[in-house]
Amino acid sequence: MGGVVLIGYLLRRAIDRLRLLLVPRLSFLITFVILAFTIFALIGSKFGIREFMAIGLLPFVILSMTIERFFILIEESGALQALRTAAGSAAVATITYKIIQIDPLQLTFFVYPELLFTIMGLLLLLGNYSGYRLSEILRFKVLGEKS
Amino acid sequence: MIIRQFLSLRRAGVLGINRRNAEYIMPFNRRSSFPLVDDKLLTKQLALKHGIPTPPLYHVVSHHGDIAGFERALAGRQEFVLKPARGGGGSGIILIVDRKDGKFMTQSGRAISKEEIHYHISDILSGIYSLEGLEDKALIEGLIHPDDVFSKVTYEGVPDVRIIVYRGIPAMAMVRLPTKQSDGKANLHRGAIGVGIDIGKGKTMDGVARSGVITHHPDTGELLRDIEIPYWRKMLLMASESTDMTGLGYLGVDLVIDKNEGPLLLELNARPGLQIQIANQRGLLKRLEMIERAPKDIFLSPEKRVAWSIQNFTGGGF
Repeated sequence: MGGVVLIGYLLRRAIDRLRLLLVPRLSFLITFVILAFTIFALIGSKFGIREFMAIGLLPFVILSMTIERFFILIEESGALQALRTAAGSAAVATITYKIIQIDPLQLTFFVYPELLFTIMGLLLLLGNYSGYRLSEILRFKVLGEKS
Repeated sequence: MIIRQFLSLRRAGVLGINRRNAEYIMPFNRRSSFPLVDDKLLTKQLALKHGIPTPPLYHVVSHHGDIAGFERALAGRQEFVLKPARGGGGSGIILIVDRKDGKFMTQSGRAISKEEIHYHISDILSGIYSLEGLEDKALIEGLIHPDDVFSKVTYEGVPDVRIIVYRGIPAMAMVRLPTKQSDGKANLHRGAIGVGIDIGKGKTMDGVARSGVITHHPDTGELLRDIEIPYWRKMLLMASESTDMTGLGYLGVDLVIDKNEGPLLLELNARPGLQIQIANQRGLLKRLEMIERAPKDIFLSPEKRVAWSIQNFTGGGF
């Protein structure tokens, strides 16, 4: 997936000088993303790698928008900031994926779907939390030390 | 461990993002008023109606078909600013300082062609830079010539003053100074430095860069402290009036000081950032709570609110 964003970014760079309007530009990128996944799926089926075929279900539009955002981020904030953002997103996605892959967890929620109501309740509680965030310890460290 | 850290932030009166959203923005800023500040064109028209000066508006491009006509609307003007009406964080803004041989010279010294400008306007209209990705308008405004007051502590670009206004009372202020790293932009997340302002004295205090507290500008090497800000009381008044104008109780007001025009309202923000606390090296909460306990009669007019702010938010302590 990261590979698709990377190649997509290079493609986006290449077509930048063509000065396409936003919609055709995104359509172009979507076509590329579909093409990339078709190739992945073909390779996957040829060598029997199931994971390669599964990613074909990923939403195309989201990936195309990701490429476009990534391009603008690099243009405006520099490659370092863009990579940092991308790494952050990838880290969050990986952690989430690892958690939802835990077998006992999957089984529990499959057998007792009403547990989701508990989750919704917890989320409502979380939504009311007006205390500090963990990241703010770091962000406002200077102020905390002064007190 | 973590709890102790949280408690020390609480003792310092630091306002966190969750509390800001839940206790200040949601109750005091009506959702229906957000478009007034998210759309710079609406803000401008509102300010005009209320007699608050803003940079002059030359032209608005609303449709792709009108892009070609923008040059005629410039009427030979050599310098202007091109910006998205609904942009955020300074993205999509181009400053043109001169025109040579059919090319436009940007402030950073790059020459861009007419086609590139058209392309940029078309991007703006498509909503690339807009907060929600919706269709947008492109504004063409007069270029600001910053007053000399901050020229020794500015690397290119235009410094701007941010004032947090709570229930119409200026609660905290800072000036944002562009640096080499921020590419002449005044946005802190791009590397500009924030310098706290003593509201009562109208003078700057120490600054804050990404690296921490600083006393001198990283590029010019000049002292940041004790710069006296001209038109300070007028700027506080403009900020205070912005609350009456928009009905937003928790507001970030961005002002610039033009050499010829004096203070101008650049934009308003319904979700102002919290970095201002770092620039001032003090938390915002105590001041907000003080404002809540302020005598009722001071809320009657902007003059009274500003006078109360000047009297209370100065020196150490709060």
